[in-house]
Amino acid sequence: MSQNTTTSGATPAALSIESLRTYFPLLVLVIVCIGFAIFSDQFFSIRNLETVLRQTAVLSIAAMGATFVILMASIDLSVGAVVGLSAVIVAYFMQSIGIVAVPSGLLVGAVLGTVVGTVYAKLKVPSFIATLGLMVAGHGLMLHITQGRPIMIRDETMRWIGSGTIAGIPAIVLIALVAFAIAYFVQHHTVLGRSIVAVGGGEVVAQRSGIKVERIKITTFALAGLYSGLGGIVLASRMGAGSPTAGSGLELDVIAAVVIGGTPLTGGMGGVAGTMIGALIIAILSNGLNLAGVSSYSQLIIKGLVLIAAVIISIDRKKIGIIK
Amino acid sequence: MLVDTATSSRVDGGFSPLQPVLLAAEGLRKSYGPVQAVKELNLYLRAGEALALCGENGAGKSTIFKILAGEVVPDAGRMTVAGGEYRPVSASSAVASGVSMVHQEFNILPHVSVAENVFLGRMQEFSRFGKIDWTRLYSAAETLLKRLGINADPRSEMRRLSPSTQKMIELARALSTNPRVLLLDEITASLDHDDAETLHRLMDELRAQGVGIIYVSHRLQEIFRSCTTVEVMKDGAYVTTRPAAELDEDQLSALMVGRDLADWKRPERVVPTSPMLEVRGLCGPGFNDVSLSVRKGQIVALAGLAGSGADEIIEALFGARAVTSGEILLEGKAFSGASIADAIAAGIAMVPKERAVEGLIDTQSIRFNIALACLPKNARGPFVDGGCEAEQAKLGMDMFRIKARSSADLVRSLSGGNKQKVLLAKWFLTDPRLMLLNNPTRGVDIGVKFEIYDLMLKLSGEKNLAILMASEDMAEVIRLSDTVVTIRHGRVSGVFEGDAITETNLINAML
Repeated sequence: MSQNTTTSGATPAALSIESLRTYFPLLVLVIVCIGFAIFSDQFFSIRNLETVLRQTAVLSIAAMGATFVILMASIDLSVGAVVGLSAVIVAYFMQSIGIVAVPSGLLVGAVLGTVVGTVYAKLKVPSFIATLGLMVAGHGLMLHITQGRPIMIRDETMRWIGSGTIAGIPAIVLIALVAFAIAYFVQHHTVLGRSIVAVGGGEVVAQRSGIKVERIKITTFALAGLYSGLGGIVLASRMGAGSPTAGSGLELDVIAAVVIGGTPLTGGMGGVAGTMIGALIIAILSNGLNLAGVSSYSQLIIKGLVLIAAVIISIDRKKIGIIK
Repeated sequence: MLVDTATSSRVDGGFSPLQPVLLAAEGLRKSYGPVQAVKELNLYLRAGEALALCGENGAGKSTIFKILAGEVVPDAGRMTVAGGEYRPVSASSAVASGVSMVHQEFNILPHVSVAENVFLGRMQEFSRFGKIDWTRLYSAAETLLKRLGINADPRSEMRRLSPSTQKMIELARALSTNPRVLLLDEITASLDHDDAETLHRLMDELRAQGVGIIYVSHRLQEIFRSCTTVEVMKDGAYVTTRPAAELDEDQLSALMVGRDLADWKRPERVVPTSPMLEVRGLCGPGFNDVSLSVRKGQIVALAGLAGSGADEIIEALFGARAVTSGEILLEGKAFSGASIADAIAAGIAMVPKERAVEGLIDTQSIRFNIALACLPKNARGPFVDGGCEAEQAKLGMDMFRIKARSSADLVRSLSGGNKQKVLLAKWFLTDPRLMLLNNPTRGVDIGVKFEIYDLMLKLSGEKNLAILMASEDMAEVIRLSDTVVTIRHGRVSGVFEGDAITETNLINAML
């Protein structure tokens, strides 16, 4: 009885803090937008918003897949390399077969994701190491395929994807939105989505609940690979080429977007909606700082600090014992 | 008031009242969120006394130990050691005040030497300008181990020792600081027979030297072997302090269980005769040649000491552990499932022992957790039927009277008792034919305990659910079961029904 009263007395405060943390990324996004709107009158122009959204597309698509991996409490360092490889391979095949080369990017992503997921789940190589290996090897493979020079894309349809609009909205932004909608549906309405969150929240609990953990791990990495593959196609269409350095360093922006969006590296909570906001925050930060005339050197410093600050504010330190 | 009872009963019992109080704790209180783990506890330990702290699981013994050892800061209360104010803020400050503890869990570094484990955290005493003097370290460890009668090479790697010897090394670590007060938490649970003998001999020697010992063990006969005083706790509160010589085992367990549980009576009932589970000659790692049967609507308990193999048997039936030979029959038909998913599909559910590790995902909502085991049932192809999940969550919250604002509340915001109810709801809602429960009331308040018992009886009676339960809580086993199967060293050591289910019978078969 006494327990009952204390519980009901103690929870409202917990609720408000808990819910505030959930909406924290959105709050940051609004603050960043207002801040830049004050500094620069160009910021809220239609033209600039379109630029921001175009800049967010590749990052947000790749970050959808990475969100699933991080929800599962694993990590994917190979995002940049797989995005780049997909871009390069699409550009390479496009030289001979034209627009039908597009699915090869998805195939490359899915195959690499499956392989790295299998190495992780079956051979028990930590995901950090497995994907680090793929990242290094992937960049090497890109240099081989391109021979160190960008492969130009001359296909008109492909170039249109990168720069064209439908009803005033850039095609790649629409692709990113569809990618997000699918990711959101997978997370919230499928057995796979439930299982991914369960594995991240407690692998033993998931296993004891009848979830086939190894299979989920491999599927998740395949799904992440598929998203990276799509990101690569979009990147190639934007750049009009498959560049030997395409996607390099993207994995760090992706991880930052996921974490700023409220999915901790320990997994089990958060999700793709937050990541979408995290990706927007990162893109807007670059864009706004450009408009405000901040040098690209200082921008890196600011971005790094924002990442750390976001995590400091959004996590509940009282509930964390040991952190690694 | 409490102080008076404690002192007077001790003086009455003829305890050398001349010995000074070594450690005193008065008015200790500690809450974790809404749960009061310790409420107003007083404790006095005299030099040369071995005090057994007794109580059921969840009585607050481990919280008291953590407070005394400086690992947890109490919400209120005052402590003194040898008359001086004692306010430890860390384990090392407790050690500096002369209070050392050996934990129930293993606290060792498996990949370094025995000597380094003995002097863990004190290596600066063996170093000059940061360089370790290995010769001195090894010889100091060797001298200490020899003096304590522990047979281990200080140079060998810790992981090469048996668990029992590893525990003795932890004891050596605690004694190497020459403590005035020694806290031992379920240490014999990890010790083999010889090491346990060494321990009891050491305890006698230490008492003779004027060291005070506080001892926690589930094995009551050990308490009477080595302890001079017994202090009983229940639900975080002080019950009584008695000289050990005034009590026998039955009286002590009656004090520990208290009146509440004795009042709770299982209604008389008739169990149907149709079989649900039949196990024949089951063998696997940790258990051997186990045969037992559970009828529909029957509650059968596996009773054994920690490490007896009862946990392993339960896990093996659920497909969570390998079986090397033997037969499992469900309603007369052979069940050959190799995975947990197969077991769930066959209508078996298991409430695991370690709620935090095996049971619940505390970063997610009540609803997510309840629906997790029903995932195959709620699936429409690759998609999840959210409506079904919501209904299940609602049903579970009503049936188990889970106290929360809504099913969207995160599990980590709940109290221990409510968490346990979510865990039970999760598995009962899979609509099992056979329910495996491993310590179903571990770490919950007495009130919630009775709610869980009532529900178990209701479901077994109304839904004809067969329940096989493993429990380390003797009172629970005796009061709830139709049949008790005792397990010793992984084998069935006895089967008891009806009036034969008595504490003495069970203990004799378990030991």
